Amino acid sequence: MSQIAGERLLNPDLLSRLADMRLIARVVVEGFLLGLHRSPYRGFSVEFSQYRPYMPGDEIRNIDWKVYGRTDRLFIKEFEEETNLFGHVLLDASRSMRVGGEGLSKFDYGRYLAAALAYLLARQQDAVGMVAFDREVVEYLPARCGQGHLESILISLEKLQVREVTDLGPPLHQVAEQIRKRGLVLLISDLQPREGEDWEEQREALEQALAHFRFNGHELLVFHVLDHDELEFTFGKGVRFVDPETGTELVTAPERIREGFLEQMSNFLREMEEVCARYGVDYVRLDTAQPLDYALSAYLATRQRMI
Amino acid sequence: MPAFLNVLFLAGLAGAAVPLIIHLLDREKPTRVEFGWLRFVEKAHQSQERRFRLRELLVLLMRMLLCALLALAFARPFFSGAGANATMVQLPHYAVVVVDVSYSMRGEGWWEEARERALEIVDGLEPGSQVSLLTAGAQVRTAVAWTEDREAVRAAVRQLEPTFEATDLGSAFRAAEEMLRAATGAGKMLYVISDHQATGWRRLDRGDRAGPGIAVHLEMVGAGERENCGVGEVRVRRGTDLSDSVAVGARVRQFGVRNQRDVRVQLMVEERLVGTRMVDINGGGEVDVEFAVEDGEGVRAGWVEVEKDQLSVDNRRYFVLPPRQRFRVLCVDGERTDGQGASYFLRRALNPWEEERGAVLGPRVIGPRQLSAAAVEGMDAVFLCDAGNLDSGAIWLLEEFVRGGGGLVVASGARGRIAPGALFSVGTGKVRRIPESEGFAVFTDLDYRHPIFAPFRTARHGDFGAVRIFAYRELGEAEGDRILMRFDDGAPALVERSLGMGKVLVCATSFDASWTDLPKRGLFPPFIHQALRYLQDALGEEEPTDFRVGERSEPEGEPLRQPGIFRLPTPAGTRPVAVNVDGSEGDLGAIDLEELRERLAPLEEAEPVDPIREVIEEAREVEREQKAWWFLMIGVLVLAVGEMLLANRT
Repeated sequence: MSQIAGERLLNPDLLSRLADMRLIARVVVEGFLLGLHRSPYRGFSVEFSQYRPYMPGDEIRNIDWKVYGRTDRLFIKEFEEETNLFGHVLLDASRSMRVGGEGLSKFDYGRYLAAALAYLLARQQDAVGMVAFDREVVEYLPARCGQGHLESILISLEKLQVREVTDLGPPLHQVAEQIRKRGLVLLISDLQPREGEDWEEQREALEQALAHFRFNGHELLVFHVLDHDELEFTFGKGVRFVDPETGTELVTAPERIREGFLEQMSNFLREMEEVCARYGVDYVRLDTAQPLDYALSAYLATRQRMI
Repeated sequence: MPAFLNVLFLAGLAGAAVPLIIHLLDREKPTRVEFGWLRFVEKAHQSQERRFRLRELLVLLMRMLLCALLALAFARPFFSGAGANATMVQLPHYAVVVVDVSYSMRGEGWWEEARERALEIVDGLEPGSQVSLLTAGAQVRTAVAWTEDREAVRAAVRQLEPTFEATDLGSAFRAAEEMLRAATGAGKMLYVISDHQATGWRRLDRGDRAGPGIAVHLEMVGAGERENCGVGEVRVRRGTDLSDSVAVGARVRQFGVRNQRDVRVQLMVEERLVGTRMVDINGGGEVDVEFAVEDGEGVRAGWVEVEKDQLSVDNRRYFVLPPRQRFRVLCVDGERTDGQGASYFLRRALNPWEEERGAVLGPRVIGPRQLSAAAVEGMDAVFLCDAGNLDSGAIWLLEEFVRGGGGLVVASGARGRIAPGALFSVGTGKVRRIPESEGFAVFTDLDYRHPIFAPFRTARHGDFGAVRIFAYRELGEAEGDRILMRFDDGAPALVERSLGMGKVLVCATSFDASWTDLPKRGLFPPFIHQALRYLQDALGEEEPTDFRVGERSEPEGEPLRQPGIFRLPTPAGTRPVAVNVDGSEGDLGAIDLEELRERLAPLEEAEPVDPIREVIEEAREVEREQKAWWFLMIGVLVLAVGEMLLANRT
């Protein structure tokens, strides 16, 4: 049952697209070749990479005798050595993530992204953990290695639902405290301030949370997930906007206010970028209309920098 | 206070509500969308919405104003003075309806048909049309001048009645066409309601045709068979001055294609049947019928009539019989003593019966010495036949006689010459005998314009050139004398002189056979009677007795309206006159309407003629006075551009 759920979340098409892009292979090979010496996180996990013909000077213990038995030829079994990276995927499960146009909602997009990141971390033999939060932490799976743990994360993501309003500060501080081992924190959120409350206070709380993570030695990558309509504001003539968290309604003509809205949204996004940059946090803006590989590419780029 | 040329377009003002209605209908029910960024939405809404609402309201008002201005512009407002020319700008329709009121329209049912057609035309005209009603008889009369009041025109049509006049549609057409040409209108129509006899259009000139923009409508009444028999004319004529009867000749015409058999023609005198003739007349032909009426005293009246047919007005023709004319004549014969005397031929010419018959009573014959006041008393004319030298008393007597209105005829002779004086301006001179070597003299240079010789003007009506003259007395020429005839050597042969109320005729040769063979010739009696009648006519003009309908019996009198015998007052009582219709009107033969339409239609190339230019100029002038709509249209244009810019502004 859980196996099936995990496979559904990790869309095989998505994975095959990653494979087709040969992105993962290249990043993994480079990590294997360069990470041994460069990575501060030398570990013990070894992953088979490829066979190559035996060459004089190669260690005898690396010869794969089973292959020799089948083929009468000597092959060296090569392994990729990975870091023991601790990665945590933090998924915003507040009601503001429920928003979505004709395609995926931000929450679903975030879940798929979280699953993909977890899978990728696990595939690379990294320890992966998962946290879901709204105004508080609603799900916490500490970082571990192994296929079984990955399956737990995927099942947990499958069952996850949005319930409460947003409050980024407290749950992030809580997670920052709980994750003691330095690692990679992947925050998936729309970073949307809670409606009806002071934005400056919320932004400060977010900044403090990010600073908290950084203070604890984590690398932080923020996936800022936004619906396509939130970025483009392409609505019809008359729309009754309903806030998913507070239920507040506002009737207006989007075509008239589009310019003003986009200007404010642009200011907000620029502000978020500045906040992230201020604390050395990687910032990736995602449109739910974009493919997930864009986010994975951003992750791999960040990881590459880390190792 | 503005007025409007096209008031109906003001209904378009309601169109101003259309943008508002569209705006209200176009308001969609808002779609419900879950959206988290209400903070930004509200802020943008607050800053933008007011501006957008204001713009929306402005666009709405501009659209409404645009519609209203458009309606006002089409309604063409004008102010004060411009209103006077409003009708010109509207360029109303003008219509002239010509109704034929000649007596030919009295054909059975024709007049009712014409009246109905006229009413239909008036009813069918465009609203606001200017209408004029003309009647076409012998004269064109305006029954109704230009008016918009159709009821007045209808009433006038109902009151119209046919006259007894002939038709002159040519003049009526010209009058109507001139009226329309002078009018400035969008449409000009000329209706002619008539039986359209060809004779009715005979006075249409070659160049007559409708002016530019005038549509000619020829309405035919009385379609179908047109047969009419009528009495065209009646002539009253004495057979000769020597007879005792009067000939009444009538010309009966058949205006149709059928041959008429046994047409009864009757003559009535003083309402008594005098004679009846049965005649056959071929189609399109005519027959002369003559009746002899016994001469009588006093003036009598009568008529000639044929049987009743399709058009009865011309079936009867009236006439007046003049009283018998009798002249009392005195002959002064210089040779009274012999058997024949100088007046022998003259007497027989005047009265061959020697009894009281014919036009001349007598004549009484006397010698020169018997000439006295008593002798000339009551005489109409005195003939001196070779009377010789008259003494001064006789001369004075004759002079007074002539001055009093008597006629004097002097025939020369061998007995003596006449001395010059008031009576004979130059007198008679010496006798000139034509030498045998020359044979004889002849008359030349006859004044055929003179009433005496008028009957001899045509061939075979007496040849004075054949008369031989062997001797004559020389006559002088004095101022005021009129030479009526000369000899071939140029000497005067017959001289007329006026004196007082009478006239004197002096003949250079004799009235007997001694100097000329004139008395033996057949032209001598009529010549003498012409001279006698001429001298009597000189006493005064005969009163006319025959009139046509429409003519006046007196210069200041009322026109005679209908045919018949009427009695006109005279100083001595009354006298009868005959009033007849114009016989040509009885010819009901219709003109070829298609051909006539083509002939009357305006010339196509006549478009750039002055009247059109005049209309354009007038329209321009009026346009200048009423160009408020221009400003309205400019306003509409400005609003349209403004609305386009404002509505498309994001």
